[in-house]
Amino acid sequence: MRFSAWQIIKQGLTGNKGWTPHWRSPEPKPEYDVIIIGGGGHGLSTAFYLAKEHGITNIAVLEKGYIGGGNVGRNTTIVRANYMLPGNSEFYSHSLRLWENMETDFNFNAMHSQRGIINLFHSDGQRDAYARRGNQMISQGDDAVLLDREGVRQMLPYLDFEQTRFPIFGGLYHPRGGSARHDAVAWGYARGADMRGVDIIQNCEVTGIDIEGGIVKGVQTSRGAIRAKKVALMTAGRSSQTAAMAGLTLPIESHVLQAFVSEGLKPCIDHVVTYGMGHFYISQSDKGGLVFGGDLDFYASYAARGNLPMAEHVLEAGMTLMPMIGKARMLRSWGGIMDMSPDGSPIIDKTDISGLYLNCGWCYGGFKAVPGSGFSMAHLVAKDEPHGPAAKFRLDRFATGLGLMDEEGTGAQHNLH
Amino acid sequence: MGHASMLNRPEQDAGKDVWNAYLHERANIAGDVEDLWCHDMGCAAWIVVRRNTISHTIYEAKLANEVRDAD
Repeated sequence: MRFSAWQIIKQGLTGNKGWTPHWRSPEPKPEYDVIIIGGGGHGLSTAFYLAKEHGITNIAVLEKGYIGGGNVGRNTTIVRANYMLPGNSEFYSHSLRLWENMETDFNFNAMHSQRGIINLFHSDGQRDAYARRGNQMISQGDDAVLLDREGVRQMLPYLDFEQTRFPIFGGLYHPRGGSARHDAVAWGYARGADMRGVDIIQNCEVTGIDIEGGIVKGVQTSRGAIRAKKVALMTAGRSSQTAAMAGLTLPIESHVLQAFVSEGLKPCIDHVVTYGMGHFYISQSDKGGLVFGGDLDFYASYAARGNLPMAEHVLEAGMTLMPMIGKARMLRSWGGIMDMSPDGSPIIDKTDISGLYLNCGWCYGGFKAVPGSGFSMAHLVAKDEPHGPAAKFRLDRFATGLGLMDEEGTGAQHNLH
Repeated sequence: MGHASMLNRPEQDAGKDVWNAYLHERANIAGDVEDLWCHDMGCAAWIVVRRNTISHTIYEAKLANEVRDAD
């Protein structure tokens, strides 16, 4: 069924009895052209674009839990294309253009809201750095506006501009950035892929990867063996465990990143605001909750929850920047598991095993990359060659030292990003 | 600050693959691990902590130089 205003009227007049499930729950077939391990945002969007752009529909997406139950449901839903380095810049620019059309593409309301992102700066040096970044964004074809203090004050009058620790000098405004409803992104891609014939198989854990003579042959799962011509590993957050089944050791450490949400409030924060000096960023969800977060806890973890020192640090930074949030009550906090790569940038590449493809290392930027990652991964799997905007996301860049994308300029080593 | 394998620094001429494995590749275990911590708000000591990355249980902590010299 296609969703439209006409359907809402029709179903409303007929007791809403005609709505059907968004996707089927098929039994796994004995063989597929492509198996995607991981039914998160990236896996589902890869299946969708394989079907839509490349006409490959004999695909299974294998998910050990349920669709949208992993990191795509545990993030803070920021969408942006404000990267500077070649490699990242064109990739996220392409991804943002896909975001702008995705709801039409998969006929589902993902509540994508381009409310604008403002990165605050607090010194002359930081202003120069943001002016340079803004120019890079503009030359990539995206939008950026350098705001002075009064410009920021007009848009965000509730900030504490005179704070003694980091007085606000201005901000870099990225109008096309914003947020989206994370679950709806997963559901939209799942529905769009299912409509094109992709089998989405939930509660199906992959327990082994079959490789013969350096060629991938299929997978072993909790629901039996499934043969496949090509297998895509798309389990960011658990990449090391999945890759280990194929005998691969990845340049990845898993870290926990905490996020927090307040009780629902009336609209008060209209944009996404980032406060890099304090390690804090915030936006308001359409339900009214203030959604905010900070930096990693900075120790390897799969616990999906963090510790109190970082929670305290984030809340202190929030209170420094916008004292008004002290009146809100916190509803809950949680942690997502980040695939941290040594240079802070992701990996979309072939492996040494024929027919086995790797997509991992999304660090804390996986959500905004969902469409771009799927589009580029689909191209890689279908054509066996990298897609232009993602061509620099090579697995071997750490071994060779060539083409590292260290956006923060801190070094291509673990624990620095 | 990373896995305790960082204490076993390769020889300078060990070759590219060995150094890549040492610097970048990680077993990244979901379960019991030994990793390096720096007590940076306190005595600045480097310690090896044996702990669980799923439950956050800490079993044991030893001074890093004692662990290194014992090998």
